[in-house]
Amino acid sequence: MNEKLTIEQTLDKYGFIIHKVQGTSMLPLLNEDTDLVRLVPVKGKLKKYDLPLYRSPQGTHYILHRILEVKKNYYLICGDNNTFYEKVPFDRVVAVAEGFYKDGKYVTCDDPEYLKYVEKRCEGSVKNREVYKKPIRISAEQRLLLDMLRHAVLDIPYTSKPENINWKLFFVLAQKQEIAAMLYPYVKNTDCPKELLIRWKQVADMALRKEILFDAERKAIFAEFEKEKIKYLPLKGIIIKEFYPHKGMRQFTDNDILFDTDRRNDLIAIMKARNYEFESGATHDVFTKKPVYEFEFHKMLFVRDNPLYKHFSDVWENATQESETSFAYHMKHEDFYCYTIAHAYKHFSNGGIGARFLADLFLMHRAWKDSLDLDAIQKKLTKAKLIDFYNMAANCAVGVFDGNDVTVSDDMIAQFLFGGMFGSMERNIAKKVAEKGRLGYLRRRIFIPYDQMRSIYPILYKLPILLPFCWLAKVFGVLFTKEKLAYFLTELKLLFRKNIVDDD
Amino acid sequence: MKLKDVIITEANGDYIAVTADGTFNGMIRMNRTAAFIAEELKEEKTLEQLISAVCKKYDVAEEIAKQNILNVIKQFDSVGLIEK
Repeated sequence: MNEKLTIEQTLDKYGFIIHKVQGTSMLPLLNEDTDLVRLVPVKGKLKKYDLPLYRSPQGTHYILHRILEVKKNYYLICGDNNTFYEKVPFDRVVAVAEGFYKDGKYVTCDDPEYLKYVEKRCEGSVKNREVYKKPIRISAEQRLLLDMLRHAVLDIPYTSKPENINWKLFFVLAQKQEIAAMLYPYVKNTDCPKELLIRWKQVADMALRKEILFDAERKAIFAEFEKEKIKYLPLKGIIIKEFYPHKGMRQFTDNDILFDTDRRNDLIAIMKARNYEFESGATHDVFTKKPVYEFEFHKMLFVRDNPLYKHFSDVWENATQESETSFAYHMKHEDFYCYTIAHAYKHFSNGGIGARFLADLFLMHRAWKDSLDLDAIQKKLTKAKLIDFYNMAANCAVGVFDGNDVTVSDDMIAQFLFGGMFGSMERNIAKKVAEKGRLGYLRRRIFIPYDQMRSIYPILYKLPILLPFCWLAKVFGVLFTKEKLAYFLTELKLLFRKNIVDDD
Repeated sequence: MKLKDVIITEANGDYIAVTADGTFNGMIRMNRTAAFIAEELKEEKTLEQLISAVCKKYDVAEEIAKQNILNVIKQFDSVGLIEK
């Protein structure tokens, strides 16, 4: 019988393994479509610039990145195409690259030309980091936020008495990360000022009230869909909130539901009969009603122009019906898992994503880990070019919630902590200014490319000639909408801040 | 008497009442007995019917049941949850 050997078993048996490359994190050196790497067992401690193969923190797959520094208990590692560091304990390394096949030619890791590339690349990547990223300093409030979040997610008591904390700042940070409700039970036993605790309690109560109202309303709407035989599939927070230990912990602003677009008119009629205001959108219709209700009915998971669209366009074909007589559907766990990563990536690539996503990912993985087909997930994420983002997120999640801080660096954590409104905007601007300059950034903000404009103004699919008018409409939309104008002014303030690029 | 359109649910060890239409912009945390009385009041009931239901459910004296019910009703009424 021909049993498939693991990488470790193959190395034991043959002394080497030739493996294909996955992801884009080692570009421009290693291309996933064409290049292979020859790996051998590790003998002793590795050195700077070696390419170790190591297990991901959750043990689900292997990663090959470059050692930038050898520390006492771990390697400080970074992909040639990445901008964040990983701390990898020695015992997670299973092999090291001896050489690689590039464009059909075998190059050893002591090849002088290759070593020149390594020197230049690593020096370059350090410079690159300095250009668009502020040096990472995790504040006391951010650390406390992560510590309390960990206690909340693991549902364990918090007994520490944190000192020298700016509680107001801490509250703002928790609000921005949408985890204030979750942290309230932990904050109330600290030295947080009483008047702030009263506000904090209101936030927690409102989150719980909102969830109760959402649950009841969703149940009533779904009952009408069943009666009218309209297919529906709940998404995002509706599913994820159930992974949290208590009700009201996982704040969410709306109910995202995929629906059968052939029945759109019937759905609109049902919602209007329930007194909802209706706003049509390119990918989803939004229904709102006082006091808190908001439902987003999605026609598709990603807009057609998004490269992720094709990877998530077959959701109905792969969905499972709840029961033979029901019109409720759910995604297979693997599909939902990949979609959660993809959706987070969409936000991440637009500037940042909050620490709450780490909690979502950790809890989802913990709830489903015994039944997940991890190979299928890895394949899908690799195909969608999301595997590097997933590696980073999984590293962070395990590092934060498993309490093994060796696996997670401040640099990585900061990528998530800088998520949330203001932080993500700042980061996004800095990144784009480094690439295109301030004027280039502004030009792009006003003259948004045609592909993106089509998603905002679907009429452009039929009449592309209207593009200049749509630009104009967009500018007027910003100037005459209070919230949008405020957002834009903040953006301008950040854009023309002296040190947006090389701030330290 | 009868409660307005109220949702009663159990969450994190408490019983909670909220109004679906937002007429009361908060929530009431209750114990199990109060939640039972609230459930009963989703339909029109007289005080006597409520006393009888509580006595049957909890095996308590009528006077104790009545006192509890009046307290709960007073709380609901103070935030406008009783239909007039």
